[in-house]
Amino acid sequence: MSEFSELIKNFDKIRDYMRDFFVYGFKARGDFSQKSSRTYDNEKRRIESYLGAYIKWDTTKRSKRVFISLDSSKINENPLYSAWKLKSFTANDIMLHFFILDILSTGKCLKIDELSNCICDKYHVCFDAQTVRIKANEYVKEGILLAYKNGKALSYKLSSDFLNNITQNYNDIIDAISYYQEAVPLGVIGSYLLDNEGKKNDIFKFKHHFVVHTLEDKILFILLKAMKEKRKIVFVNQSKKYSKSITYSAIPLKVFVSSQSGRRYITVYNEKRCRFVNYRLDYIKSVDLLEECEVYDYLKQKLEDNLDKCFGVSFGGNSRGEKISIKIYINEETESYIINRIKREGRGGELKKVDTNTYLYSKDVFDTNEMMPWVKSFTGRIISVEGTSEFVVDKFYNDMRRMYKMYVGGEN
Amino acid sequence: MELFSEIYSCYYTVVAKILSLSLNNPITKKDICEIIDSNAFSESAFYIMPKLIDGEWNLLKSHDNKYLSKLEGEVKLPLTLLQKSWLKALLFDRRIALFLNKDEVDRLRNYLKDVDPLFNIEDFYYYDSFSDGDNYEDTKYIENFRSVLQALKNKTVITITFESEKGRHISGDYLPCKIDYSSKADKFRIYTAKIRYGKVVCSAIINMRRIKSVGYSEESFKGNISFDEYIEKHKCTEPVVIEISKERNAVERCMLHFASYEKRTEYDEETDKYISYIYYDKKDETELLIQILSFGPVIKVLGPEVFLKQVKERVKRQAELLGI
Repeated sequence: MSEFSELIKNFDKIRDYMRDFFVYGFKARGDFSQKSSRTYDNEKRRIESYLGAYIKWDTTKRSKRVFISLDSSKINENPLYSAWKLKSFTANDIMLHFFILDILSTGKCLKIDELSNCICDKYHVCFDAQTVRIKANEYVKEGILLAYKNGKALSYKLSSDFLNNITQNYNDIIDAISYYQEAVPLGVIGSYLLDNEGKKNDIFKFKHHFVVHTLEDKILFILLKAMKEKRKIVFVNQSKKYSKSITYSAIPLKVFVSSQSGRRYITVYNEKRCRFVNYRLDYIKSVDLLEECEVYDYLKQKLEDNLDKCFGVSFGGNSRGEKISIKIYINEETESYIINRIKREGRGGELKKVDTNTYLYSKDVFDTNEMMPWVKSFTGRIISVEGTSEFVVDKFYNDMRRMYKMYVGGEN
Repeated sequence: MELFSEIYSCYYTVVAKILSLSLNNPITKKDICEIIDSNAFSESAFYIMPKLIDGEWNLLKSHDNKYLSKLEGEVKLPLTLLQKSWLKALLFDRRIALFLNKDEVDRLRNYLKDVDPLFNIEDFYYYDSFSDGDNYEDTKYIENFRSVLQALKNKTVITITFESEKGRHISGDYLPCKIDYSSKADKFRIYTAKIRYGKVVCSAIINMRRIKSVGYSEESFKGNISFDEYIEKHKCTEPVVIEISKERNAVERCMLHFASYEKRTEYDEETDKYISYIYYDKKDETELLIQILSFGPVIKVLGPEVFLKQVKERVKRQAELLGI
């Protein structure tokens, strides 16, 4: 049996387990049927090791459950970043890392033979030149080393771009990184920077913060590259609705982010269906880049033109446009904060006073069904809902009747 | 340019620390173990120790039962292309003005002129963030933000004058403890302790945008304030208990929606429903209440009684308005 290690070769493996332990938390060992019990045990042990303080156990009638429980407003750094910091490596990788950095820290510019000999002389560990070359070229790609043509051969030098060299305000940039490592996409890179500087965030805290987003960052990273290069993509999607994975090809244009529901989507143009579609990042299993899209800028502009009619992520069904009007009771003297709330959350909808203490909110959107969770958050003050989608309006009234039965009408 | 790479590995960071500490002074196995335990994960020492001590990672040399680094100096990783590319993206975000002045931003953009930003802020569309977020371009806002940030870092008390929600001007001496950012509201708030005669009088949360001025204070505070204790003190005494049905993909939606809360969820075989216990900050009770209501009948609040009462009142009022 192979030795257990915290390190992981493939990020995708831990991604699903971490997500299930964190987001759902109610799954027991037997619910993880897609992989073997041993895989489950290993992944569970890894996650317990990474996130010790946040791991909770619970024994129910069914079995023992392990889950991650954390209040995101209490954390200084996303604990799920730990999974990014455990990529496996070989003994040669780690030795060459420190030997090369140590030798080139003095400012030397060396050819591969010189570097290999130097390692052998200084540390009495000898590598063949090809092994050193592979590592050096890998580090050139990462921007750690710079390669110069010296006759026929390349010479290698350590990059002088250290954080304290490139800025005149080191402390200010550390403060900025402390903030941005949790506030912008791919924040784990900020966390890498803080680790390298030996710093930790003890200034900022974050509310309405979805730490789980980091588990989708590998997918996001590839999508951003595709968007930057205006390329088409082919991707594998596995939504909870369908048991099978489905492969799509499309043109990625924008990332839709919900700061309330915790979901992130990639907006693509589907050429076969001739329409924009959103796919959840957490459902995307892999992405590959295809050729450049010649009409990328045109499609992007078309998407921008459509944004004001998106209340959420839907571009509508066959109707491609619906209207909704909600009449709301607001006590003008004491509840002006409700008016402010509608203005700031109403995503450009029109709000007008139609009577004493009565306001009408209306908006044209692709899909009024998407608005209903927001509308229902005003439960207790909705006078009426009218709209072009009979289905949506009926569902609203039916929901309100069910709520009444549930809480007031004596439903068990 | 790799996002998932061993060069950012926690093990590399820990080994760099061990090598740095053992550069001139030999260290013991116990020292090495302590460095690993305090900088890595619970099982890391089992893996790292034998590799370092037994020489598979030939980075240390033995010295009288102690260990010395084989390296000649301290090593530090320069900025990688990935890191520079991420930093470059930040320089185009309007919030950067809170941290760096325009000259510094321009200088850095110029320094990184050959680096492509990792993303453009416009690539992201935060479709449900509030539209009245803070104005990060306002010079007074920037000035106040920086003054608060400095005071927080230096642990100094400052006099803050701000406008309350009701429009009253309030002035007092405060020790900033944390700066809070909400992506949903796109706002900064400061968690503070109000100080009078060198003692904490009460805690206060001040919206950054409501601050009129920040000035020098005669007050000082010598003690320590635990932010975790503050959070615990303000936490609900009982969690909200909700029952989630399986219809309309509610379990999945609900679990993700409430992912930022501390919670525990279990499946009830008898009812074929899920029960979730959500722990929340008392000041966020109304926010949680309207979040739960937004799910409609697929979530049923089971308790505590005081929370349930509020739900019932709203549902009853709603039924009256619709004539149900």
